[in-house]
Amino acid sequence: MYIRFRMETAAVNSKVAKSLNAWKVFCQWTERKLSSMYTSVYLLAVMALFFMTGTIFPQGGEYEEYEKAGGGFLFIVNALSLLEFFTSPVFLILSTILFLNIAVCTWKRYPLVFQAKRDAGPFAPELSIDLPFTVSNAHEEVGKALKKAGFRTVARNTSYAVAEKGLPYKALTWLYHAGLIACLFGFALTYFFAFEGEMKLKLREPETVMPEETGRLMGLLRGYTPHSDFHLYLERFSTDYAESPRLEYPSDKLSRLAIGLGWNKNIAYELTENSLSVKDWRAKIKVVKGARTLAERFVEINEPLKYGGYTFYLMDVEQSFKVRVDNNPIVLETNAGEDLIVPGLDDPLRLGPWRTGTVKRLNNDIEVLKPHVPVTRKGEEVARISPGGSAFVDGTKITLLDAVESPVLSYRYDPGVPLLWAAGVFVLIMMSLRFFGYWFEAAYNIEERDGRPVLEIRIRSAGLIADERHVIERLKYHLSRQTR
Amino acid sequence: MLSDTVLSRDVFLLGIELRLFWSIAFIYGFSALLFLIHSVSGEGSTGRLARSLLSFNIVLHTGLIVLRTFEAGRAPFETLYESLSWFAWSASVTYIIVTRRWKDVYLPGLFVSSLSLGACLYSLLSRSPGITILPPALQSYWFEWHVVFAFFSYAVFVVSASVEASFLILDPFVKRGFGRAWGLGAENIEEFHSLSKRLVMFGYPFLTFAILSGAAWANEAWGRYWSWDPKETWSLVTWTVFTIYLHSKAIPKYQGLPASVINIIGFVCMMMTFLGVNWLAKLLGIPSLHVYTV
Repeated sequence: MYIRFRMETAAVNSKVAKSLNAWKVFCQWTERKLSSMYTSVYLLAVMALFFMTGTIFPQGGEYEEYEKAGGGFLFIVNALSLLEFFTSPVFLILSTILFLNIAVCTWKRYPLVFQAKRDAGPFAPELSIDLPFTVSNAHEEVGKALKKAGFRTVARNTSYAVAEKGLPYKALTWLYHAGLIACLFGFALTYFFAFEGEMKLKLREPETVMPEETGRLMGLLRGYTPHSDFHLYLERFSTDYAESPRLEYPSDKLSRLAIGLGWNKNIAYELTENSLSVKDWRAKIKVVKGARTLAERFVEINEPLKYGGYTFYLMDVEQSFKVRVDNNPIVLETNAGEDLIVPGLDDPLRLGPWRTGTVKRLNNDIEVLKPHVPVTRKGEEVARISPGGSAFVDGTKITLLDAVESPVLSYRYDPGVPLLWAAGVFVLIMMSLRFFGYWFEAAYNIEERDGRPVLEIRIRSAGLIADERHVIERLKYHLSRQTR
Repeated sequence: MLSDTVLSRDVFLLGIELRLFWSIAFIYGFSALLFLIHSVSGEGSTGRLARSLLSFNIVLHTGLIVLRTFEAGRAPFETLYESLSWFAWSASVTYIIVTRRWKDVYLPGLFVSSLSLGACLYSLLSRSPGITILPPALQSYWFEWHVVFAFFSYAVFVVSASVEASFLILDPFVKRGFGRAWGLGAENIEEFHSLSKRLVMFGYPFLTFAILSGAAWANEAWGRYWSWDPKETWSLVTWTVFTIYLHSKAIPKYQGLPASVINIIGFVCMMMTFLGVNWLAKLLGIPSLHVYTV
């Protein structure tokens, strides 16, 4: 019984040892593969193909709509989540493997890059320079000349010495790879914690941030989540227009060629009352809590408001109108550009865009626009109404009771952004120094030939502005100066 | 000044601009033709003439860009009409500057001048030259930086690809001892080829900056630094392909023909980012945030 137990225990131990050994071998294999540059190349190639795939299928589209529109490869599209490809498991798995590849490569190369003892590899001199010194002082004089040429000695052994000049390109390469890892951490923070939403502001009506959904792992950030115990208050909103003439220009190619050759002078700018383009939208927004104003700012496109961990962006402007038809007590409501069915009229009308604010004329004069709303039918303007005013369309009286402009804000909470910017700038600086800078390594020794010292040297370089020929010339110059 | 006077002035200037632009396109075409004749005949004088003509055209094209800047009162690369012109100019300037050490090698000039001709004709025949107001989203200090650096990297990649293609075409001739007529021999063809890698190394940080600045701008304008928009994604494809190229240059097994092919693929991806993605988005009906570049 005891012997049997011993045998069974030995068998189990042997199995465990085998599994442990297999696990060790697997880990070593994985580490070897992940630290290989071949793996990087293959992974990047697959990644590039994945990126391309994501541009072929409409991202964020609905599967049913895709099917209705006659989209092909339905099974593959569904199985690989090709309409949400950049958050699909396949893409995330590949991204994780790529991240591990960069991380392991960087980790494994750390000791090679930053080790104290330098080794320039096997010494194979490429150039011999006869030295104008005695054998006894040649070493000292060459050292001085190298120093004058900007080199610093980094290693010396029995057969040769190594001197360096310029920026340590291996360290810079390592550093921007490390920066890329930090960037990927930034992306991960965005992926797990970022969320966004939209809100419409109405003049002098406080609005609260009420996100419908939060980040994927927001629960982990308890206590650090953004607060929304404040209101946004739109104090003022204005639109600036600029006069923008339309070019009358032929679309057929021969007419264009004729204009280029001076045979056709049929080219003109057309300026009408409607030739206005939006130059800027500006919303004065206050952050309020009770009666206190916590922050205020003019928010424009490209100039967001940051408060409480959120960033608020001006995304769009919605215009809505209230109209009365004849003396009907029922008030009709519509938005700019939407069809308005008016009782008594065969075709729907469209109101807007409401023009209010300032306009910069071509001659740089700035005028205040008389607020008005164009009314169109089948694309043709049939009337113009000012707020409070009326107009007749086919005998039907349309009265504009109210016109409101509401800026649409999008807001976003994204804790990945600061890390991403810091890491991105770091990567860019290190990469620029690595590529645009210079680095030289001179491995050399001094031999004696016919009683005269000879410098045997090999120069290696890296960086776009590294010019080995120039460095050798400088070294020869300093060596010749040493004799004077 | 009255608005009518401003409009008359603008029409007059646009007329001059269009004639100048067509002349420039013709000169690019003539230069490409001369480069082609040189490439077939190996005649050095034809190559020299083609290069001189291209240099002269750059002066004219610089004048055109200054005129456009004056007309528009802003940087001259807002619309696709303008950016195609800017692209042709920057590629030609980069070619002339970069290859000044290789004055007897004219084959890359054939690619660059043909591409410049193509860009000019596309701009003149398909786009409207009208000057428009900058939409609010483009009114950002990031705009000029983002576009200038992106186009600078594009120009460098164009010249790199043309050097790479020239190498791939001429290398077999040089190996048989016939490369002299095209300015290359066994002693200098590798050094000439190394120019393509140096150019990618030069353009790569600029492309990186263009992507980063684009992301920073998108973060301010759209509230997201990355939206997986087709144009953004293709810029990332281009960056990834050039990353593969730089890595493959460090792998002995890949640093020959495979790396050369990857460099050419990188150039194709770059063209896809610049122009092809608009076509792709239109073809597949994919919405793009970069609609103003279409």
